[in-house]
Amino acid sequence: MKINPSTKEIFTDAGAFVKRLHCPIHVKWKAMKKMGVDTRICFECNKTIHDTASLNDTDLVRLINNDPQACLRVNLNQENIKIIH
Amino acid sequence: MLFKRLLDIFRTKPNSQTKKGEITCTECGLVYDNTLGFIKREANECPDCQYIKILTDKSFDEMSDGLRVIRTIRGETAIKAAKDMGLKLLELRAEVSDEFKIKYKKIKHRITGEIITIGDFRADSRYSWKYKTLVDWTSKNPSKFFSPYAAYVIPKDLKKGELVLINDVITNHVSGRWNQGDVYRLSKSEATWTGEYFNIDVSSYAIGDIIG
Repeated sequence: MKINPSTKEIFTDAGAFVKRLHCPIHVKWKAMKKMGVDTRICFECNKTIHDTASLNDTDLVRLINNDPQACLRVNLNQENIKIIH
Repeated sequence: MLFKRLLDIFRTKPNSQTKKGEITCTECGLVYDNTLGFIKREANECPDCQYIKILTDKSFDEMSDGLRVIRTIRGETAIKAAKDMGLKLLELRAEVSDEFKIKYKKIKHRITGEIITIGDFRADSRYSWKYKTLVDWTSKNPSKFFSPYAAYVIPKDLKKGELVLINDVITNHVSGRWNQGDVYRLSKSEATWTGEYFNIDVSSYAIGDIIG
């Protein structure tokens, strides 16, 4: 998994574009309610946010293919992410 | 009883007795009174005294964001005092990793003499012709501990699996990295008590989250 922090675009390791992350509400991850090991609920929009820290590229692509509007959380410190510019 | 124990700590230093009922810490001039608790008589107090105060401060916020807050104490004096008070401690070695760094550049206005410190490469060009460089880009580790001894005060009724808030994390965790090279230390975090140690949830207060 790769992310460009400037454009907030997320790609697979092979370079395939997955999604551009955008949230106009700016709710912090810690302010969201934990729903499962890798998901939280945003109180503002009531959507489920998926933590990408434990996802591989296949899981990520499948998730976005099933729901292109799915919300993701990427932490720049997570081990499965590479930062690109 | 608490007063007597703390009194014993301060009594180890000569001339610490001032007037009746008051003890002065020779380290920082803090005056302790057996009816009023700590009274700050000087602008500054030594870290030892600050951490002893954490142990005895009745106004300490026990809850925050719905989570129990864990007290962190640092220094041998506070740890000894906590043990004397019969508190349960999780003692840890406190050493800041060399990994953490922030960069800065110090510049001075050529006309007004104003000195400012900048931390972003992008701000550099904005000031280039108006300012003279005093300290060129350099990095420093902003985290320093006054003592290598530190401990969490474990509430006696803390249950295994309980989520808590730690405002002063002892162990080293990266809170965030900036693509300009700065690496930040996690100082505050949610954590889960395993029964033996705290499992720090770095993501709870990490910087660098992108959501969308």
